[in-house]
Amino acid sequence: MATPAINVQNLTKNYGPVLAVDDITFEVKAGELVGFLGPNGAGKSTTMRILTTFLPASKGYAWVAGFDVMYQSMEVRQRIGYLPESVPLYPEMRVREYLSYRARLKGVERSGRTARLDYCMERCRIKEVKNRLLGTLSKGYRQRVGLADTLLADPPVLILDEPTSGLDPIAHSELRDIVGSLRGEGKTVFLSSHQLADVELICTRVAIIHNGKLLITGTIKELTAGDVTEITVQGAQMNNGMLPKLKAIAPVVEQSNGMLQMRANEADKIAAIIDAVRGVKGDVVSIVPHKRTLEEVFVETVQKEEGA
Amino acid sequence: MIAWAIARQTVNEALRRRIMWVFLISGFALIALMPLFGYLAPKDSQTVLRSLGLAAILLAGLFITIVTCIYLIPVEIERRTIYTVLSKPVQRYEFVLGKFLGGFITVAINILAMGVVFLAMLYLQSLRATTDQGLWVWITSGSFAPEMVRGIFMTFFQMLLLAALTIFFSTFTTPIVNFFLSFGIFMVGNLSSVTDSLTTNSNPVVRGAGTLIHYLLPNFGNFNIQNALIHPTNEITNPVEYMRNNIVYALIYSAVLLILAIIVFDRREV
Repeated sequence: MATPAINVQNLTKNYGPVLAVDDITFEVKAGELVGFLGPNGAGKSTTMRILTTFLPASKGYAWVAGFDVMYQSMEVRQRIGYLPESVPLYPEMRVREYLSYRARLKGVERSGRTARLDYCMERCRIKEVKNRLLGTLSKGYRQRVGLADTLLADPPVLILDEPTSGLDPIAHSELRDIVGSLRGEGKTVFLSSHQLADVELICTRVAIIHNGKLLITGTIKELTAGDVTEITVQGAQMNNGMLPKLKAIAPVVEQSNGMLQMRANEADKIAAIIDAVRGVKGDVVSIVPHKRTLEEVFVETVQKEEGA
Repeated sequence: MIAWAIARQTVNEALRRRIMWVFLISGFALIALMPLFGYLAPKDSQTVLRSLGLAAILLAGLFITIVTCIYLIPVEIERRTIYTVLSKPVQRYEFVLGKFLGGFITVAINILAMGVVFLAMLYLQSLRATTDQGLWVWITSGSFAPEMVRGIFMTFFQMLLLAALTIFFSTFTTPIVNFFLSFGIFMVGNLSSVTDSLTTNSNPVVRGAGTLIHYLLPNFGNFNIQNALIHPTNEITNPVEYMRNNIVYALIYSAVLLILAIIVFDRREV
């Protein structure tokens, strides 16, 4: 069996009494592009910092490219590219000078360094700003410089912490496309993001974490499987005692101007909704199949955990 | 090799800082203004020039060392660039060594520049011919002051020790606290003759405190050989041995401070 690119076993991290990561276990296979999702403060960045050997775990184990992050940290660091959230840069350095410095830190051979720098700048579309001061770059360019930095030593595993956060739509889609294209190069990408549409578009699998606990992992296909039926109803008595009855049958996803939108995936529930609406002389406006999105899965999963 | 890459980046970064240039230009200005002070004491103008020149290099070197080194590590933590450095195959000791090396090379470049200007000023002051006698005759009619190189050389090692001290404090204090600590210790360390006298004080508390301060704090005073260089009556008996001993002292003390800095930084969760 092939060694997983990332293997996390019962990983726990606490800052004093605060449990940031609570006994999580998951695997990322080589060549996969996995989205690591969770609300703010869920433990994503902490997990990523442990994987990059920056923080020690309180309990549990993690291996990256087969090396223990705790005891073989240099081997791990030689095999990862890490892009932290809001790429920290030296404002007074120029783009090329910065990347050249990074390449030396990563031990990129002197003979191939210039070619590698050119390739990474080309790949991340930053060649046109190579002589600009980092402090004068827009956020989109800063993120791309950060991504070019992660690619310099051609690492097999990339750990990207919210790479598209705070970017304008164009910069956002450009960066997303660059990240998505890394899968074709055989790289393993483990990325955290709040942009669920992006994750759905480029990732093969996701892991959802909340309050330090791993709630669910699976492929996008598995998680969004099971189409539901969306029923829109309206009626004058909708607000007079009917609403709680309908809510007891199935969840209401939207309510406006006397109209209700509900979702159900079982035939008897759909029939119950229709009967209840007709009973109060309401109208069924539409019944359409609805494909679940990752965002819905994420919200449901997190809300269920919060409810529990 | 990695420490060297960090050192190079640190030098580039430090040389871009305006505050360092303020102190360097102030040092140049003080050295350039030396002749004015010489005119005030025409009988002893060479003594005044030498004394002021070495003092200017020491003073500017002191502030350049402190303002350069106090920020090197905290600024990496504050702007979080350290995350992107330590997530690479870089050991923490390499990071500390690279920062120290870069900081000290910056200081050394500054001391060298001020030293060259100082020696050039002394040479210009020593010109005996006039321009009427021809440019070549005029320019070759001066004399170098090689003994002043020894004074600059000792300042260089004094600053090495101060840079190591500042880097050590920067691994666990804020820049402002570090500034006062380093500056204060430099001042106390320069009063080694005073602290030495305290070690024989009759009061046991004063004697104990004096002994602790005298032996624990770096002895910066031993590097000040200006008096001996300028006033022949104060000449050091065996200058080569004296300088060698103090250079070895600076190297050992700096190495110990750097080892402590590495230990502290290695344990620190940044």
